[in-house]
Amino acid sequence: MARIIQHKKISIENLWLGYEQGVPLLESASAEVNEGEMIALVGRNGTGKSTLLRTLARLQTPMQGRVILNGTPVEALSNRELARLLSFAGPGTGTMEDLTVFELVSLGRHPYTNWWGALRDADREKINESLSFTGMLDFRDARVNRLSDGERQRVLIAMALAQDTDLLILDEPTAFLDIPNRIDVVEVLHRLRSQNRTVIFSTHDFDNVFSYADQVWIIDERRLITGSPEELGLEGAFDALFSDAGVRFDRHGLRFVRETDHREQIGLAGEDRDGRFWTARALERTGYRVEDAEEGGKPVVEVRKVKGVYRWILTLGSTTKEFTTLYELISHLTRS
Amino acid sequence: MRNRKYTIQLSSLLLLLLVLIILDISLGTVRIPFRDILGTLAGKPGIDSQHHLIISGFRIPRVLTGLLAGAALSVSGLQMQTIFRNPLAGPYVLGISSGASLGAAIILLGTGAMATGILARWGIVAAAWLGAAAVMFILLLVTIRIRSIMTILILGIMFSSGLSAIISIMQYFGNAAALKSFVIWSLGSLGDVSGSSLTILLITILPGLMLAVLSVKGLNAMSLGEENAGLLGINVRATRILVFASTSILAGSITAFCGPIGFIGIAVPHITRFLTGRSDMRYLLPATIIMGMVIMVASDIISQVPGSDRILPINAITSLIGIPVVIWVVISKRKSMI
Repeated sequence: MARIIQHKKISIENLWLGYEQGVPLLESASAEVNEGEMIALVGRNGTGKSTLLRTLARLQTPMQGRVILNGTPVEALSNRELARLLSFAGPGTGTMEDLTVFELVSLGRHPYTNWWGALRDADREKINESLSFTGMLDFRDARVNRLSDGERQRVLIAMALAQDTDLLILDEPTAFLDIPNRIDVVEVLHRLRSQNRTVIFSTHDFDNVFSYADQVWIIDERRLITGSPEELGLEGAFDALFSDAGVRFDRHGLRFVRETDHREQIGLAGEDRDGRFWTARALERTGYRVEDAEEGGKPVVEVRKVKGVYRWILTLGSTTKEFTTLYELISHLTRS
Repeated sequence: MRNRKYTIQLSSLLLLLLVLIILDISLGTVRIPFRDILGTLAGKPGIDSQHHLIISGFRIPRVLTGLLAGAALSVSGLQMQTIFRNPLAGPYVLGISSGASLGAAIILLGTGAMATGILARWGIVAAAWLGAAAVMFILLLVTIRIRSIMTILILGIMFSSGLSAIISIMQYFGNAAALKSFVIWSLGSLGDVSGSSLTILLITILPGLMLAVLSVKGLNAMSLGEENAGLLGINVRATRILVFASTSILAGSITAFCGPIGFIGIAVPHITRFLTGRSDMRYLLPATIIMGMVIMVASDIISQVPGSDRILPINAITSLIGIPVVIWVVISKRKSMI
């Protein structure tokens, strides 16, 4: 069911972040998030991603500016009120404690339980619902400190879900996860859009940014740049992100690659598409600029596939050399 | 399933406690027939009046004091370990027992060896209580000002060491008789509380335990760290004040009346966690209270050296029981310990 009127879930106004002494991390940042959006926050280490997320969750106070949640400045809310509107999972949450999955997730019900923390049937239902949403129902009675990183991250999301807040803030939920787990976690978060929940998460994982995020927030040189991922791509915001570190954005592969200075040209020939693709990758990784074989005056690699077996023939002037593996070809090229 | 197991564990502990209580009452320098013991407990008439006096005037108050001390020290240990997220925290980390000891030292060492008789006895209790209360007051002031819980822990330990240093100086200048009474006080005793003082102890311990019950939800959330507790809607500062007040009342009163009793507060929460496999305060708190009583009464039985007419200092016995537990915790380095 599509909503006609979109409400501003959270907005930040002229936010300055930093610590007492020294330069601010973020200057005059403003942004708005609509209900049901997924926001990916990216930026280099130490640029203040965590500080920004922690400020949104009122764990830190800004130097200047305001965070407005559902139309109310966060500082005007009581702990209990805030806990019913916003949940936060940071790195390291739940690693130490000897709790079962159920016990940890049930702590998410605290904003709703009485003085003793007694769970009613409705609370238990909510906990089980959150566990099944994140695919962790079978782990109900497992100890949290025995889970894998991916499982623990999903339990933390379940805990945030049990808190039943419209806004979830997660600091690097995919850190230390393998690729299937990363995709799992982000897909769980993405599915929350169907419940009209808003998710803000920080990440270094650009695959997820481009596949799932409605908005990207980039922190670059103390500024917050916001927009849809494609729009930011169009404006060249990603190109600037790591340029001072000698890394450029490759828009075709939607990835960042190391800038190499002297790029020798090399020709690539051959009929087999897969063979050409992977050979080109290997040559680019080694620092060559790969071109078509027609233009003369440079080394040429030809990929041949005979009876399902690949061969690489390197022609340099009048000498030719044959290789049976890509690894040998690359070793030869880097040595010479 | 888990709850049934917990009920069974708790019932078995209660049964064990009952057996230990009867055993503790039966033992002592004067041999009393078991029939007279049960008779007195059941309130039957016609018991040897001498025996009746020993049982109801000495042994029962002693066991009741032990039950209160076991419960109070274990609960404050549990609270300290949880709020500081440190397995080696105990009721005395905040300097409460040092405060009480300073109070007792001022009376015992400061007034010379005059501290005998009922007035002096009350003087010691009052001074020890004031000492513990003064520490608690300073602590609460610190809590309101200082944000980091680790800073509070370090300040508590330093404060405690500072007070001990002052006590050492007082001991150095104290005369021999005064020194001996102070040393005896610091060895702890469950036998000096009876009649009206037992009533007063009971009246002070109960609110301390009630505050502990009120802190259960907050402590459960605080086991994830204070920051996360705040995000779960807990008022962290209020919980801290609740917990410190509870621990000060519990540990302070017991130390004032019984002298310092070591290691119960550190060891019992670990034993309880290990046996119940629980870390949820709602289950851990009642189990810790009963376990504290069990260990304390058991220590009292051992201190009477069954079969002999000597009584060993209770503080030494609880330390000998508690130390191996603490060593086990440190060596096993189990994350699950806290």
